[in-house]
Amino acid sequence: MTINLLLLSILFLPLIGAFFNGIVGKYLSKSIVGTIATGVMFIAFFLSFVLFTKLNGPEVYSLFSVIQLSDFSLNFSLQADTLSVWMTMIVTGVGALIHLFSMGYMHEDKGYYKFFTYLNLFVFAMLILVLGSNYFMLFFGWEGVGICSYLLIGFHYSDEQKGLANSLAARKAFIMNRIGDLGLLIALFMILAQFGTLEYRELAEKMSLADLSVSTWVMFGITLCLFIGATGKSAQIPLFTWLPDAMAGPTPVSALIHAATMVTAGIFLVVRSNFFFEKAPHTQEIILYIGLATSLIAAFIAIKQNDIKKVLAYSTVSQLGFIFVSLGMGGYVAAMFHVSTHAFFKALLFLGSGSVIHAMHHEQDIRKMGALKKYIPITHITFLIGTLAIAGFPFLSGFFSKDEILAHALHHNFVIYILLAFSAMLTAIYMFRLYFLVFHGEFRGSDHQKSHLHESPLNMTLPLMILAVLSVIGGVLNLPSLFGEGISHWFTHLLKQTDGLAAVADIHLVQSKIIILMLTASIVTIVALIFTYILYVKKQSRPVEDNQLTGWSKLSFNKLYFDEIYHFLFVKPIELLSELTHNILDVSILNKSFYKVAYAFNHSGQLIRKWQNGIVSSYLLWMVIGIVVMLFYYLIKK
Amino acid sequence: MEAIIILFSTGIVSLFIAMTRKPILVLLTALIGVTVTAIVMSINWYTPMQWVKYDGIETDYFTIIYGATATLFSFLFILIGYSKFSKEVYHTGDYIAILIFSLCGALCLFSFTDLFMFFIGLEILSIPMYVMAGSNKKNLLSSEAAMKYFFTGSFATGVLLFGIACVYGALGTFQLKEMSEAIAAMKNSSALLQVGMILILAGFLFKVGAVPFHFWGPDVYSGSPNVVTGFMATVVKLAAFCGFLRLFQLGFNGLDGFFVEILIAVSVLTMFVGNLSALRQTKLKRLIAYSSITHVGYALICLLVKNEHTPAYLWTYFFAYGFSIVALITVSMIVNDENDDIDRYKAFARTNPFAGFVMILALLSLAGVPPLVGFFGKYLVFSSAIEQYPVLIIIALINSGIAIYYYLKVILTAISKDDNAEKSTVSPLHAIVLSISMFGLILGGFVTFWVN
Amino acid sequence: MTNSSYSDYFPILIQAGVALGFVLAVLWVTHFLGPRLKSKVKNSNWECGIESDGNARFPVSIRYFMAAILFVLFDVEVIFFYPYAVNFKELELEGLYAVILFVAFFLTGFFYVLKKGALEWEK
Repeated sequence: MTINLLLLSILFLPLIGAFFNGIVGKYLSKSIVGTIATGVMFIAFFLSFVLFTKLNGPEVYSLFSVIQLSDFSLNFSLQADTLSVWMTMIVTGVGALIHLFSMGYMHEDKGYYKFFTYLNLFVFAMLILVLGSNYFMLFFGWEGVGICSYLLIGFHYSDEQKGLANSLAARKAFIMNRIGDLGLLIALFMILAQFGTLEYRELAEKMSLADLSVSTWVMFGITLCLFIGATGKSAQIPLFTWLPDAMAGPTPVSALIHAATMVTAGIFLVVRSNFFFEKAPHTQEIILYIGLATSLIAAFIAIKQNDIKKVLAYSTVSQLGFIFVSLGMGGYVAAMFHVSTHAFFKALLFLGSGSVIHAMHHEQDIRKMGALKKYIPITHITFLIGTLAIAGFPFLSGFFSKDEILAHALHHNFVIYILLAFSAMLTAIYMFRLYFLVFHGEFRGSDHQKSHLHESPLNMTLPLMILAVLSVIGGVLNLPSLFGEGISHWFTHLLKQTDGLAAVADIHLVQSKIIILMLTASIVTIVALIFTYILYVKKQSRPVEDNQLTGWSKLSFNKLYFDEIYHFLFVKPIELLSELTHNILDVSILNKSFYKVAYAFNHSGQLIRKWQNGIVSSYLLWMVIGIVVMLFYYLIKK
Repeated sequence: MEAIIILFSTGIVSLFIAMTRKPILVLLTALIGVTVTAIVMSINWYTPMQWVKYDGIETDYFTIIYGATATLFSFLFILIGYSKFSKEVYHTGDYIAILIFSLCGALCLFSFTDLFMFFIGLEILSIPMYVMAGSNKKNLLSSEAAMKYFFTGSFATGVLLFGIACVYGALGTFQLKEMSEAIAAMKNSSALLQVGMILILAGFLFKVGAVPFHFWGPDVYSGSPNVVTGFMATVVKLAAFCGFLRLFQLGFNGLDGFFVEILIAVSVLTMFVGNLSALRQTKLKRLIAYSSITHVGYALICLLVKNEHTPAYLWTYFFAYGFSIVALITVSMIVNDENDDIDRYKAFARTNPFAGFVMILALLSLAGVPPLVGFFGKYLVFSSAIEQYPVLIIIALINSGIAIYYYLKVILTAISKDDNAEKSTVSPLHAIVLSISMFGLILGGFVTFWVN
Repeated sequence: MTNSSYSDYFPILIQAGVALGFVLAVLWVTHFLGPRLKSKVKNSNWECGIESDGNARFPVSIRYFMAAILFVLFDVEVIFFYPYAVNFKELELEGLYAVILFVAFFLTGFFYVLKKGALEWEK
């Protein structure tokens, strides 16, 4: 198979699956629907692996032109380079596992076929996002994943108790994303106005020219708008509050969309646009600080959350902030590395939490869990691996990828390094807290739940195991040079083949510094582990009831009141304004005038109808009048 | 000429065949005759036939297209009306023959070369209609319609004849060609000619039913039997429009000067009066009458534009319009209601899905919804004039908007729920006509492309 | 007529005004001229001759009209023979064909009328 054909098949397999399930899925049995949806994903993953091995050098494959003008064209074209194919492998690989997991998790759901339709559609949109060769394609996919995310967050919209909340969460995610999308769109227009093209390769070429005649302010504008787009999708301050709410969706959705793939779209965007960001140091600064703030705030909030998925959601936000810090320092490879490992262990954690929730009969409150390690051993082990990986336990994948970012930070600025390390410590603390509360101690749920505790079926535990293995060994992708030149920095070399990234400076720390870094990180993690072990296992400390929280805990529990502040600052004024325009503009002016116009027509119809009086002589009279008027008009005109 | 002779003979033969008291024979004769006419006409497209020579008639491409369309619609109306005609065994032949004679007049109007044939054609077209309007003898409204039509029609004929006389007085010839040459050679416009033209225009406006010569329309349409209403709305209107267009274009070198202003005024008035009156109608045929007045307002725009495509646009317009009327009349025949109230069509689309579907298509096509054929007709007419008369087109579009209201009202009535509604029986002939008009409505747009 | 203006129509207007004024004036003046008497007898309808019997608008048999109309029709058509007879020689054979055709139509119509029974008085 040629590369073009591979690209096409990878891209359209999920779409075909979505169409098939969407149209006839209703009439098929659940196993067939699930098998088809999962099957296309595995095939797509296999093909992307083949593509990965075949790839040498970036290649662009143009399918057709969407808009063709004399000086400008929008092409539906795909680009295969190391970055896009790597992302494709993550999307299809993790996606395939999550599809497999969903087959078990969603088994009792009525909208089974719909769910897989949406999932496949999402994968298609995500693939367009990563495989497109220009910003137009990216935007297309960007909106596509947005709508799929919306559909999946609100998937249980008809649920009796949570239906409304689910729909509201979906709406919130959609609206917040729209703000980001607007930024992205503006950025696209600015790029188009400035450079006349949206193709990555052409832009990279133009940007690499020595005599670049673009003012720094334009660059600042473009990159800032791009970053605003990224903050929307990747849940950064100030647009991060939708992601925790998005946990209203089914857990596999949270795993796939809101942890492993879609939320990394913003990071992908920045990495793709590295040639712009390299020319805009101010934006990089902004990214750095926003990422840092997000990382810290989200980690802080995560400490006091009691919903198993919310903790993971804030952890995702925090990790994404971490990655943005790296991007802000120009550490694109480190960022992508962490994106990859994060995809493994965060998908693992979410799926694990899904397995827990499944076992607990849709109970998500960790205060009602505990001592689950006896009942669901496989989930326990894999969840533990995921926790260790994200906490940065030595020699697991998260350890290496985080370390690389920390190394960048140390290289960049010591204060930032300290703050990041603190954030990493918070991560370890809340993750261990979660782990201990769920799996250790005594069971705190109802007897009914206890009697039904069971390990999930194989199609749910298998993805867990595979992801656990990946979380453990994921670090070998990009080992530090400490481990020898031959095997280290494989990922760095890989990504350097992508446009623009080759020019990005590497940081080379001396070996002693690397060792110190690793030691610090290990110590921080282990200290956090011991601290939480003492607190939650030895002392059997439990989260207090909602209304007894005080001080910092209360602040953390209430998510720093972000939602309330936003509500007051943005939602209220807009609601007021809309109320005002509704009352004045719509009801009193537009509506009334429309009714008046309609009334006028209707009434004049009633009047004119009377002209037709049924008397022939009057008809004749009118005809004569008509002729006479015409003759008179002729006389006057002449 | 051959076509007219064949058609005329068909009419005569059907008259006598009716004596056998077997309506089906009459129907067959008429259908065969009409079909042969259509075939003979289409042969003319490739090789003009010269068997019978007569200077008053000249066949060109537009004659054939218009003639074929009129023949097709007559064919359909004979089919539709058969169920009603055959009830009066004694008169079946008369009715069908009269329709065929009227079609003869239409064919004359498509091909005349002098004012004499023009006038004869117009009369042959109209007089059968006076008779047919009253063919529902037991019905007072029908008789009233015939009387009203006859009175106003003969008055208009008088005006028209006076106009023709004036024109003859000014130009001294009846031949269209010589007339146009004489006008072109004239240095100053002659008052006699202009007055004559105004009177002819008045006659024309009467025949097509434009404001303020439209009053006969609603009364006659609603009083006449359904088939006759349909025939008047399609074949007669098409023939009158084409005949006068031919006269104005070939004889008077098109209308310009103050005629344009008159036409604009009449067009606007016609649209508004037709539409606004239609808003509150409760009877389907009256609604059709007013809507047909409105459509005349749109079609008049065609005459304003001096363009070699005008006949094609006009044809497209009436081609599209005709199919809708055919479908609506068939539906009204199926419902078979003397009262003709729109309420009677309640839940029609539910009890008779196919007929209801075609009815809705027909109404949507009248409203000009793409991709139905009505849209193409409207689009061509409007787009041809948008550059010269933008304001007029805007007014026409506003009127299209108003019109949607009453079309939708009928559609809503047809699809609304009614538990008491009974299924009407659809006779095979009606089903055939409905299928044909459905194809016409959906695919007609492509035919219009081909013709254009 | 080339340089006509609105003022040219002024005399017409005057004339129209005078005509209208005269009519109105006369109508108005008659009310005051001459004596006016009112009495019951004077205001009642005046009749003379024999007493009327029944309504004049009674239905007449349609056959009566049919016979009359058909007579007129055929009569008028026969009139066409006169100009033909006068120009018989000049029109030559072509004229003969035309008249034969005319008569053929004519007879067809007659035949139709007969077949339809329009001339059967009793039925």
